[in-house]
Amino acid sequence: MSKGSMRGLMPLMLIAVLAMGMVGGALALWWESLTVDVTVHTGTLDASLSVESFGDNETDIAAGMGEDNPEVKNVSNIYCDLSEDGNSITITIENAYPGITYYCNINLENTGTIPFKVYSVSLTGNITDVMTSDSGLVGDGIYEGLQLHPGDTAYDTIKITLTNDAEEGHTYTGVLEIVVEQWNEYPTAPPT
Amino acid sequence: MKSMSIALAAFLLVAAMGGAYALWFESLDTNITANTGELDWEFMNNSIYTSDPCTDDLGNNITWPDKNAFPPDYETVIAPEGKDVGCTALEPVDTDSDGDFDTLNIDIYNAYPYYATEVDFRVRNTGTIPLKIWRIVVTLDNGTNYTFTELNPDEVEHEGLYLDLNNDGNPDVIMLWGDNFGVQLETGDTADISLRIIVLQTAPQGEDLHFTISLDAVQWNEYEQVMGGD
Repeated sequence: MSKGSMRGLMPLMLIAVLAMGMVGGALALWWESLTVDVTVHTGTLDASLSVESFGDNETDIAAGMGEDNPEVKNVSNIYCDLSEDGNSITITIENAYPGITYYCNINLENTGTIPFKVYSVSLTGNITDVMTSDSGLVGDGIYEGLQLHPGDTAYDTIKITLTNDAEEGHTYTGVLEIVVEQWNEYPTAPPT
Repeated sequence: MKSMSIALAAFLLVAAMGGAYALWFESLDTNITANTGELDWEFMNNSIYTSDPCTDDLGNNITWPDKNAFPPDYETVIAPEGKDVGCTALEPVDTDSDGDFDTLNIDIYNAYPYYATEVDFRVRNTGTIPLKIWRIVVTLDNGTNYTFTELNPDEVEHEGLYLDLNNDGNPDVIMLWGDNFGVQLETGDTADISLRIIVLQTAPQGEDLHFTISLDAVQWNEYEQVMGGD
């Protein structure tokens, strides 16, 4: 083959090589992946109530007043019933009357996997209109800012004493609400 | 004379045939063998750390203060109360048994809103040709993916990539990725990379949320091509 004919082929060969290179580059570019596989196992925020005990002081008062048989003065009763989910306690006082102290001892437990803090404790309802000022959540076990770690429990007492403003044959209701929230965002208000 | 002419003609014929049969020639050969190189890289063992490990180097459970990052500044991390609630477990894996760790499993346990964990690792070019760190592709279990290169790093490096991992329409975590897009690693060279994951308020409780990050490197001489250049 003469040099002249080689010169004529060179551009064609170059184009062919470049074309093959481009196709090869598109099809077989070398690359390698590393993989980061992320799984986030979220925890749970959960609180539960339980009832430790409940009662009233009718017989104690009667005994203190020299009653021979204080039991006969046990005419009213309090019941504290825990819901199945442990999120509420229904307190019912039958035949209530002023001057008697009714109580319900409760536990607040962190049944989740992350710590929580008590954001608020509030008692609402018309029963607050006929309660003595020392009624409510009276112990020092559950309070705003209290922190409970998973498995921890706080103990407190709900005390209800009616004043003489309470009407006979009437039904008073109230809700004692304890709001807890994740420890690291206290005291941010939870969504309403 | 006639016989002389016949003899000459015969000689010339034989000579011509001999020339055709015994032309001298010689070939020169070029033997070509192409031993191709290898593009490979790895997560370096003993270079993988987290800000909140579950265990020590011996595998014993340890107590380590949690880190939190709160909006709007997810780049600032604090350790409120020094409390240990969640933790992060890291496991490098050699999935193709080539001697390199090609996968890093990150498991974040007992996570809660604004729990923040940082994972630092070093990658090394274990191949025989230079590579360039090309891109990351974040892929969710529903197939959604997000790709980042040096051309669009801001969201994943500074603003944070919000990821809805359970398809409820709300983001569950934010991911922040360290730098090194476009960095070239010669054979044996290393680069440090970090990522941060922050759990958000809208994450569900008691669930396992999953996503993957593919960290892709490309041969050095075709980086411009994959980046859309000439």
